[in-house]
Amino acid sequence: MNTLKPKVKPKAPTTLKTNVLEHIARQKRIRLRRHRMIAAAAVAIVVIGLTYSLQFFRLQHIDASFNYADNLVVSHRMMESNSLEITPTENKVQEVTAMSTISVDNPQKDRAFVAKIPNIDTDKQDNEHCETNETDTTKSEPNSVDKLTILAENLPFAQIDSSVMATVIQRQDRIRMSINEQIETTMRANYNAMRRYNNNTVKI
Amino acid sequence: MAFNDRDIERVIDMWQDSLYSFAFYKTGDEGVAQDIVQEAFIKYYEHSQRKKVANVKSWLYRAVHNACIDHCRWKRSRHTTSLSQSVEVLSVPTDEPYTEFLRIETILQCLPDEQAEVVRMKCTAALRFTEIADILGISVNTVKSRYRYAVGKLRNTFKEIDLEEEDNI
Repeated sequence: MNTLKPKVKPKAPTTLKTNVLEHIARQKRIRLRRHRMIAAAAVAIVVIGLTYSLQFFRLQHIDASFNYADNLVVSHRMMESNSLEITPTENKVQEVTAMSTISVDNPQKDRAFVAKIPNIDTDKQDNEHCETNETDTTKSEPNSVDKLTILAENLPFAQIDSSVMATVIQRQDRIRMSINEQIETTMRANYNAMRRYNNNTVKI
Repeated sequence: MAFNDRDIERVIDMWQDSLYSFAFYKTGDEGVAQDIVQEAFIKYYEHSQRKKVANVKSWLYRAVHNACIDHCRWKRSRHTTSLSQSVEVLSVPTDEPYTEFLRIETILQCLPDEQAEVVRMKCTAALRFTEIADILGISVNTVKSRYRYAVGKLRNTFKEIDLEEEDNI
């Protein structure tokens, strides 16, 4: 009798199972490696991002500090320059000499500064002026250094002598120290006032 | 719960022979049948990682069935007569499983593809009508009617053929 049922059922080769398991293990390894690479890349991106953001905030902070310090110095200088008196008439010749050395980038500004300078202790200083105002020079020395600082900062860099620059830097340091002292004094005064106020209120 | 290596080993041990036999009687090539069954197990493993399979047997048989159809289509599209192929024809295997495959294919040649498919599944893989319906994605009644038509046609053609009329549930 003929039948459609197969007389033999072929058995699966033994390599079938091994091949499947090997393939699965290989796929697992590849997936694991890919996950590790993705994780490493993500960590690297996060670290780089954090570093850059920290650097950015740090720079911002430093910038803000510098701005604050600059503002203090500028305001201090402005206060000092405003308190200066207009140069006497005998110094006119010296002022004109100084003006001739100033840059023409901002002549109005430079002229304004120079107009307030009675004595300039540079190489181009007038000898006659030194002789005539010998006693005044010692008297008004701090003011002249201040003016020198202002003048030097307004001059083009190439025209500033090294000795002048050293004086400028020295004077800047002194200004900073005096600002700090002023701030400290003001804070101490405020603190004392507050303490007195508190003591009074407690007593009441 | 994750599908681990022990689970896939258990599934392979349980179904590899029947799936291999099923694939072999559909393709007639042991190497192709082995590849198809391997691919089916790998696909099953990958699918199980994402989603739980409700009926493992039906899923695997459907995967093998689809892969066999793809292989047959590919083979039909590349069917050309060349010297190398004529050499291959001369070196056709003469072992017992292949002889059986040829015998069954000769009988099923007189049937339409849909009916031949149902008869092949019913007789070579010993699947139930519900399982066949699940694998082919058709209703059980359609499977039964196709089988009945196929049996009638084969009885008319081959008087001596022995087929099961009833479902062996």
